[in-house]
Parts: sequence; C-alpha cells; structure tokens
Amino acid sequence: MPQELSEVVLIMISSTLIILLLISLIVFALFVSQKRKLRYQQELTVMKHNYEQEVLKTQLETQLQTFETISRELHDNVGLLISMAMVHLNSGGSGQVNHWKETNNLLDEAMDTLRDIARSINPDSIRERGLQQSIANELSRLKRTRRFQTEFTCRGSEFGIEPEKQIIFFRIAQEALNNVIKHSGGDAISVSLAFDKPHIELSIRDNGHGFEYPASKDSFRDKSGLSNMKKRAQMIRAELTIKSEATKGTCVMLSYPREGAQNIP
Amino acid sequence: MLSLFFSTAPLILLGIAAVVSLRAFMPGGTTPLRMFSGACMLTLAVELTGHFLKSLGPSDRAYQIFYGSDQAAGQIISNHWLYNIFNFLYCMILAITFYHQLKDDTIKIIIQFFYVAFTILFLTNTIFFQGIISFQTLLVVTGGGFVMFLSGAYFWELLMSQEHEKIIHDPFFWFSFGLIVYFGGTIPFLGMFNFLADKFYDFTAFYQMYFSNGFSIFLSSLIITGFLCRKNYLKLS
Repeated sequence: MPQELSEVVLIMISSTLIILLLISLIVFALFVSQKRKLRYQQELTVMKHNYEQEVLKTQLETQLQTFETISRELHDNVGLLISMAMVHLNSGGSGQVNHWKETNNLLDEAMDTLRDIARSINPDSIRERGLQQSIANELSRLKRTRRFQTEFTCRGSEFGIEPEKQIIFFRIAQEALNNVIKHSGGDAISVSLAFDKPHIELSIRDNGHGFEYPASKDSFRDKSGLSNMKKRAQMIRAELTIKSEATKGTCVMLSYPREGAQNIP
Repeated sequence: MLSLFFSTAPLILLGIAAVVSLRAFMPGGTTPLRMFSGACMLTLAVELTGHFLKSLGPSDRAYQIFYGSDQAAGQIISNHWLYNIFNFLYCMILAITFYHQLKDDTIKIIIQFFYVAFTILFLTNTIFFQGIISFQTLLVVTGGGFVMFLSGAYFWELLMSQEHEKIIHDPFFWFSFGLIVYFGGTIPFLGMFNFLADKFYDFTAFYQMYFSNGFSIFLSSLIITGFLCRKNYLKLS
C-alpha cells in the first residue's frame, strides 16, 4: 500500500473511530441516566404510597382515639353531671334558689362538655383550631378527669403546617399524652409549645415514675407506641427526643423545622 | 457473497424502512414523524435512481456532455449531481423535522439560520466551487455535521426530560441514534471522497462498498426499529 494511501487510511479510520466512540459514550450515558430516572421514579412512587398509607392510618387512629375519648367523656363527665342534676331536681327541699342555681351550673357544665365533644368530632377541627388550640383542648379534657393537674404555655405566634403533617404532629402529641395517662403514674402534666424559634417545639413533661429509655433502636420493637412516634416524626422530618429517669418523670420533646411551615394568614 | 450482501442489503433495508415509515400516517402520527417518513421515501427514490444511473456507466449522454468523450471510461460515476441535490434536500428535510421535534427555542433559531446558510452554501458551491457534477463534499460535511448536532441536541433533551417513558419507545431516539452514527461514520470518508476517488479509486470503491454501505444498513435498521418501537403513536401527539 503506498505510503500516502496508508496515511490517508489511518487518518480516516482513526477519525471515524473517535467519532463513533464519542457517540457510543453519549448513548451509553443516556441509557444509564434513563435507568436511574426510572428507578428514582419507582422509589418515589413507593415512598408516596407508604406516606399516604401512614397518613390514612394516622387519621383513622386519631378518629378512633377521638371516639374513645368521646365515649369516656360522655360516660364519666356528661353522664355524671346529668345524673347529679337529676338528683338535685328530685331532691327539692329548702334553699330552693341555691338548689336551682346548683342544678343550672351542673347542666351548664354538661352543655360545655358536650360542645367540646361535638367540636372534636369534626374532622377538620385540628386544621380549623390550629395546633395550639387542639393541644389545649386535649389538656383541658385531661384536667376535667380530675386525675391530672395540667399546665399549658405557648410562646410566639402560631405557624401553620401542611394539613397532613399537622395531623401527624398532633397524633404524636396525643400518643405522648396517652402514654402519660396509661403509664406515668404521675398527677401533673406540663406542656409547652413554642413558635418563636427556628423550630416549632413541643415538650410534654410529667411527674411520674419514669422508665428506662431504650438504649438502642432495636429495643423499640418492644415499645410499639414509642416506635410509632419515632417513625411518624421521621415521616414529617421532625426530631423526637425522649428523656426519662426513674422517679423523675418523663419529658417528650418534638421539634419541627420552620422551613416546612407556612404562616397562618 | 459478502460483496453481494453489502451491495444489495442497503437498498433492500431502505425499501423496508420506506414501507414501514408509512405507519407515521396512522392516527396519532405527529408531523415530525411524517416528515421523516417523507425523507425515507425520498431516500429510497433517489437511491433507486442513483443505482440506475450508475448502471448506465460512461455511456450516459449527460456524462458525455459534461465530461467529453475522451474521459477514461468505467472510472467516473455519473450520478453525483443527483446525490448533490439529494444531500441538500435531505439535510433540509431533517432540519425541518428536528425543528418540529425539538423544544428548545435557541436550537430552533439556529435551525432557521441553517435553512438560509445551507441554501446559500449549496448555490455558491454549485456555481463557483465544486459544481453540480462532482460530488459536493463540502455540502455533505456541513449538512451531515449539522444533522449530528441536531441529533445530539435531541439526546440532550431526552437526558434533561422529566418524562418517565422508556427512551426505547421513542421513535426519534432511534432515528437520532441512527443518523448520528451514520454521519459520524461516513463524514470522514465522504469529506475526502473526491480526493480518494481521484487518487485511490480501488480503495474508495472498497470502502464505499463495505463501510459506507455498512453504516447505511445500520441507519436503515434503526429507522425501521424507530417506526416499529410503539404499537400506536397516540401518546406522542
């Protein structure tokens, strides 16, 4: 092969090969990128599905909790008040003005309790009332049982959270309060809610006997309530901290980042 | 056997591609798809005509008029004028097709400049430089290079796209892949075609037979794949 031809052939073939190599790299990169995109999309769909399932489960649990509370309140408070009112009505006797006043007071209290219960049945009540009022209502209900002294402090003006996340936030608070009722053995609950920091911070403190806080994540398997609380906190990217010491009570702290929140108009 | 395959397969596959491309005229077929189908049919018509003219050889009267009777017989191919016009039209049709297919406004403006610039280049090259009879290598390199650029632009849009559909179900992915490989593989050769045909005719004929035709087979195969990659085009519209 003449030298000139071999040079020409070399130039032509090498340039062709270089161009084809570049094209192959481009097409390969396209396929890899497409595969990653599809995988990401699938993961997103699964996560979204799981999130929706969890939100639904939380909503159902909140409803169940509300029904249980309603049932208890109707039995313990309203039923008792109306019974006492009936006893007063039937007893009659001297001091009739005071007697009627007392009956009236009892019936007023029963009516207030019924109104509270009716409001709590409304599914949009958490969104309408806001987090502060919803937690305050839970505490006032606990106070009416006369088993607990409650204290509620709130700092700063309230920031709204997306409705689904608000339910989960409230549900974690409700679960913490339920744990106090069932397990703490104490008689005082102190709740503080702060909106004046970079995070929305909720802390629920009791004066019960405390418990041994699980040292590792694996131990949560035996404490499904705490495990659920942790999982829900992770779902809404909130941080849940539990501090407990034997005989010194328990403190549950929930911190939700402000960038996830929006101003309530 | 191999030479028979490489000499006949490109034309056969081109015919199949042209027939299959008629699917673009099904309901749901988009404008770019139909334009590309038109380009395929034009290519088939030109290739058939070109092969027919080549078979006439030096006895072709048009060749005798242009080159005179004392030119060496058997060495000059008499169909370059057809391919010059075809390359111009083919690149223009592909540019229009990509104009309708691509979404980026900047690329569309570049394509509009190309319409004007490429037409001026073709006319200037025909009148003043390479003429219509000899193979216009400048046109092929410029037009082919631009088509490669448009195919690359389409790949870029696919890369940046948020759509979840698999790219193997996108006809234009296959068309772009075929075009970028075809032009990428043949431009170095076609850019030096006149020089090679003049100095090293046997090598040119060999390279044309096996390599250029090989790339042509590859392009036609991907065009067929592109038109068959989806059951219907309704989701494309």
